[in-house]
Amino acid sequence: MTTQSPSIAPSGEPWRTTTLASFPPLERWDDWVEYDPSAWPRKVERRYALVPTICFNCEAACGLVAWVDKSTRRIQKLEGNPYHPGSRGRNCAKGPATLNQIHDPQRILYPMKRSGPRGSGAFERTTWDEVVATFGARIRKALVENRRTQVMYHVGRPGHDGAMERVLQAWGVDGHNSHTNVCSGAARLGYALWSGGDRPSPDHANAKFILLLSSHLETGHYFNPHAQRIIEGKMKGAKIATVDVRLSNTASMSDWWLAPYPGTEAALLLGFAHVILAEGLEDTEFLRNWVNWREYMRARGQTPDFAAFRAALVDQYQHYTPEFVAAECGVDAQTVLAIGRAIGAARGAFASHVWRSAASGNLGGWQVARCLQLLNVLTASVGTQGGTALAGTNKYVAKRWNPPPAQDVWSELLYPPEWPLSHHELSFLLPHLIADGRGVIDTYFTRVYNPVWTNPDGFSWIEMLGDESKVGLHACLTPTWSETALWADYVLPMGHATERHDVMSQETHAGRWIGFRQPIGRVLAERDGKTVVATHEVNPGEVWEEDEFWIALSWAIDPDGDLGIRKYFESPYRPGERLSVDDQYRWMFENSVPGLVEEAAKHGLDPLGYMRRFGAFAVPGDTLTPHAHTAPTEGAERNAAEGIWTKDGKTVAIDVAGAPCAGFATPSKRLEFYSPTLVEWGYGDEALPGYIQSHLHRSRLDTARGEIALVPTFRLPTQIHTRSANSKWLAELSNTNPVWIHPTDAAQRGVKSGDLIRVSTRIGHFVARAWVTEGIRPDVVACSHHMGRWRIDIGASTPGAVDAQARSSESLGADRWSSAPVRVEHHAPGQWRVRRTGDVGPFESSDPDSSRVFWSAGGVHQNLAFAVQPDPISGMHCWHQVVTVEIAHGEDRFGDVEVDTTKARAVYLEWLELARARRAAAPPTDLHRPEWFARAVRPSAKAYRKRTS
Amino acid sequence: MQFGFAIDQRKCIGCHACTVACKAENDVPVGSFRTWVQYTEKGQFPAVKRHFTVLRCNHCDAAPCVTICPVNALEKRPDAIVDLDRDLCIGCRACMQACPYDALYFAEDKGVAEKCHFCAHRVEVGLEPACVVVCPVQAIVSGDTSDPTSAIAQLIAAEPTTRRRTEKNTGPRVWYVDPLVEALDPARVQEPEAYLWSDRAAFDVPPPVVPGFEPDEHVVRTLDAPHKPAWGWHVWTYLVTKNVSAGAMMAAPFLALLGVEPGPLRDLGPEIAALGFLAVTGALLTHDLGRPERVWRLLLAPNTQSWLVRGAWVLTAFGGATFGALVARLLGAWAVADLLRWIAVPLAVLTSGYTAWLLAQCRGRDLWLERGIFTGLVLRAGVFGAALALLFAGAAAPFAGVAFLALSLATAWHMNRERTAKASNTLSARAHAMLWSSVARRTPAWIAIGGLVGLGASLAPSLPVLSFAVAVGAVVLSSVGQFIFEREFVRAGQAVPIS
Repeated sequence: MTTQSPSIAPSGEPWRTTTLASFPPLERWDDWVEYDPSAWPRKVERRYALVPTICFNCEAACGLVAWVDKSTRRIQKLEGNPYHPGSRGRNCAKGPATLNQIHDPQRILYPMKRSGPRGSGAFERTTWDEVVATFGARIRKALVENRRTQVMYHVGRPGHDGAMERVLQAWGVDGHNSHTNVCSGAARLGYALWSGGDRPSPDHANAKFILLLSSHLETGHYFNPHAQRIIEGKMKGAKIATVDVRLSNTASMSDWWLAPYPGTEAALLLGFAHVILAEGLEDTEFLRNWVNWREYMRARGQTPDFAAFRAALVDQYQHYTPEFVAAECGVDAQTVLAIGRAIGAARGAFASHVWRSAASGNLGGWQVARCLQLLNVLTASVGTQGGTALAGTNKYVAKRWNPPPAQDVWSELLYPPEWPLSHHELSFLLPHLIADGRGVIDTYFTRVYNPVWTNPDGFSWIEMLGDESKVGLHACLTPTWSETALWADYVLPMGHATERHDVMSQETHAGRWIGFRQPIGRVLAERDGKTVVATHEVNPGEVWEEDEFWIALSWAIDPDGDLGIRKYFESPYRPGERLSVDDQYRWMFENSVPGLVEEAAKHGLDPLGYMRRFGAFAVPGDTLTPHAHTAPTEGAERNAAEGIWTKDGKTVAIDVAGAPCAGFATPSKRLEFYSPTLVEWGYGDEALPGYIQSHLHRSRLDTARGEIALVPTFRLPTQIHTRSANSKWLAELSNTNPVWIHPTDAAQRGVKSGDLIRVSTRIGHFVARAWVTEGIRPDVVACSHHMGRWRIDIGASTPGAVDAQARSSESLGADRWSSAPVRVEHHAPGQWRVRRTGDVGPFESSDPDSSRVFWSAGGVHQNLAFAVQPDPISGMHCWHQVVTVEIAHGEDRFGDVEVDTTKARAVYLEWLELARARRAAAPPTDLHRPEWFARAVRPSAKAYRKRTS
Repeated sequence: MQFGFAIDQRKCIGCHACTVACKAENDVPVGSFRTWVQYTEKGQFPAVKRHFTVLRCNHCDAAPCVTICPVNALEKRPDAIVDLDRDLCIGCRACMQACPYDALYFAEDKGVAEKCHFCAHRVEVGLEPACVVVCPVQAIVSGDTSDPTSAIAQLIAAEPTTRRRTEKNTGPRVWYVDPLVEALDPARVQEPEAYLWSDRAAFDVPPPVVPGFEPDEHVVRTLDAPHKPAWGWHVWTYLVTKNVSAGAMMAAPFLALLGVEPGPLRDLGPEIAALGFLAVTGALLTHDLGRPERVWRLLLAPNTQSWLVRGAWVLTAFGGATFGALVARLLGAWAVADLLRWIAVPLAVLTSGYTAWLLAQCRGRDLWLERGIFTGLVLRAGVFGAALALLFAGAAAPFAGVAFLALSLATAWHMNRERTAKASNTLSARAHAMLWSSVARRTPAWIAIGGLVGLGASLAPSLPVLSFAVAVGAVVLSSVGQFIFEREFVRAGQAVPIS
């Protein structure tokens, strides 16, 4: 049987397929006709409206276009947005999987209020009016009573730039808590010390050599935009080296896979520096112009002479020979030499990136980022084509209307004095900081944040969240149930990527852009000429968007404006009236995005209309070399010997080739190889990029006891930390987390692939399966953190029996696509166990796919068994664990996690003592933190100073 | 216009964006895939790498799925796309056996097969397939290979490429740039019980390693999509019931010779048995279809190339002749009935044996492509025929016993010969080894012993009840042996991974 080749497209035009397009032309986005794939080859026309938004799965904020069936108004699929400068129309698996999250049969559609004891799983539906009134009154009371550190907003993925800063500062609270110190805090400190910018922005596409710490091709911070450009660079001839203890996809695609013993990465990087310096491959002009070598020489008590500096530099890294590196790191000396030379040869075009991995795993990990950036500095690959720029230049944060003043308070629950340099809040210590008596929380919002599951020591979080004297009222803002939502008083459904407004920008490449997330239903209704007052009118169920929640809540806190809060939530266009989201973004796009007004006009659109239509905008301007721009020197004084311009005692410009340049965001305006800040704050022994032996350095392991290093942090290409349990297509591809172990280590322990093993930490143990593989270095085991989602088997769990009628379902917690039912057992103070009562498996729902779940393991929740290990300087949780691995005991069951939180407390106190000991030697200061250091929701200058009274 | 895909494995990062974009575009059920990414790890630490291969329909120039589809639900379009019409599909799943690339799956809720159709519904409005658009690294190139200026034609011209399983002579239209060669050869890859971050489905258990067919030592499949076996108990049961039916009519003209006394058993027994088992056969085949209500398409909208269709013709002719013989006998037209019995013999041979030609169209199942299947099927049908004669004859029927023994021994000898035959390729050899390391290896002996016991029973006239019981036992042993053999043969054929 044959059919005629079609010759007429549904548009009525001749059908041409000589060149297929990736996307429908923009002018047809309101009404694109395509054949229904479910009816094919019957040619049933389906009319789509295409609306751009941005992804809310990882932090990259890639462009998405929602394809909405115009007859059903259902979002049928999500493809890329060709107008998005970062993602360029392409996506990773998580982009199209957004569809699952939108149509997840288990998503939360209505605000829920606890109806039993915390953690019991008993919830009942409530109204948004009740929610807003309850929280408004409570926060108002806290503000009136000047309890401005007791209102806390704790966020995992912000998903926007600047939105919450405005809200919290309008309230005048110091209450922004984040997740960075279980994530990127260490690398941020390392980068910030160099340049003031706490994020790297490599230009992979133009690099000649790319050095990646961990798996930036398949899971990194901005995986899709980075992968595009890394491969682009590779196809243009760039060489790639990847550092990772386990074989990642990235490592596999690299010219070199280096698997140093974990915690020795800084030594490896200094080995490359050694080769570069020993062979004279560094760029002396760049160093002379842009590095604060004069400060360093003076600190050494020497006159600032560049030749002497060079000699000192060589001397500093003299002993990091390839042979030393080979012995310390377990990496072949010839390879170190070859890569060092290749990095040197790539001069100006050396792109590198560390974000978590080694920096986040190890005590002293922050020095890894510093040592990595040293290589960029030595090869003059900072702010160059093919080099690594800093976030400040490639990320554009648009201003918002009527910014409130900075808050005048400082919360030591967020920034405790033991870690003054942390980037940023010591969020994962919260249960311990409260147990220390440093404060309590009156009103607590967790948002896109699942500390019970994500953070180490989750049982301590459960203990804190379950205690109403510590956390007065807790609202979990989330589109989906989670292990943390179980312990909340209110669970408030917030929109997915297609149900909310946000503006985001990320340093994905050499260039800058903003992306606009928008509620699809609202945009379509407005295209049809309907008026939408609030997004929840068009969202599924009663799902709100946060912008509108915070505006409504702020009005509830200050209904009459007497607290001075309401005015920040009034319209710039309709004085005295409530701010709308349209007002908010209209003002932003009209007033604070350079070039947008003009570009919009070219298309006959206003700026908001342009962003609604295109979903993204490339912000023009030089993003590579702002440091080389001429700086204004009016009223400044030139110090020729130092090559600087100063004003009011502060350096405002630096002389480079005879011209005053803006320089970098450090006090010296130069790249700070030598950090006076570290010296001032008592960490003078770490003033230079260096190597700190990790807490799991071989010398600290009792190998006779069978101790081995566990790397518990690796990510999978198709998961998003805690937030992808609601995607069936992602769960189907990755659904368990066996412990990777090299055949020699496995043989020593009598372990075979698939065996049940017990992994013991200092506070307990977990029971997993073994994956014996050549894809990991010996002496290390590794386990992905993405798995081990659970939901409580209600009634089978303590605490508190629940009236059967109060149960909203038989189990509650993480989505069933990925979670196993468990019993949470609390036998005695501090004694906790999670034991599975079943497997992941098929279930009944409105989605027929739920009956097709073929996977069962679901993995193990290892983070529960980890004590907190805050780095004494960066405050970053040192994720890697010293563990023992053995065949499971007779009573062990797969997925068991058993913990003693009294031991967890003891470990916290040990690490606290490490930090205190470091601070003890510091000179006195009246500052909470160096003033030039960034802080999320930065308080006033006054608040940076400790109250002396 | 000749569409094709090129997959540039120099660029592919194994991110599965294509997999998920395809699922979203085409609403592919959980557990099934139109395109998927395999991970294969080769080497030993630290010289080890993970390799990715993106697998999907090859839109073959000589597509075996199109040939085997009995109802023309699959077609090769003029633009080289192999498309599937779900409204025509009857859900027989033969295409899944014909495809050497595991490219089709059975959508259970719809009762039909589905596959990559090059997003023809997009292509026809001028858009690239969904997997192409989404790929972060543009590793999937689609286009017109007949246009030398197209990106795909230029890539294929500029770089050395590999295609999957070209020995199948299907003319695959997916070109791989720089793949791991071992990864594309399922015979060389170790299959673990679970993958590096996913479970294996219960229906996707890895096949046992067969001595002599060990995969390469340090080449391990570490991630793959599950593939459910297409055919199950309906099919191996149908092989048995069809052979009983055929055997009955093979034996029918010879019953007198074999010592069956005149009477209804001799005159009507074979036809009744044949028609009864043929009805069961038809019921099994129909019940096995995903869309049994469309079974009429086999006869009224047939693809005459398909041996499913030709088989249906054979069964119809065979059933017609048999039914005719029965009716003629009942009407007293004995000569006509006898003539029809003779006509039914070759039809019975075809009824038993045509399955060999159907299996020969299952180009994805190397075990089923081997020689000797026709002979084996017909011999086994003959055993059933002789068994029928033995039972109909009751005691003291040495000729029936001798015939039963002779056919049983011939069958056992033939099976044994197949067991020791050299397979024509590695996958076949592996399936062959799996078959003969399963319980199937005992079945020739059961059949032979059945033959011997049957002969013994036929030689013991003094104890008619006991000897009949022994004969029944012999037939049961032989039949169970046959049933188990067919089952293992169908299972082993599908157990070896082909992708």
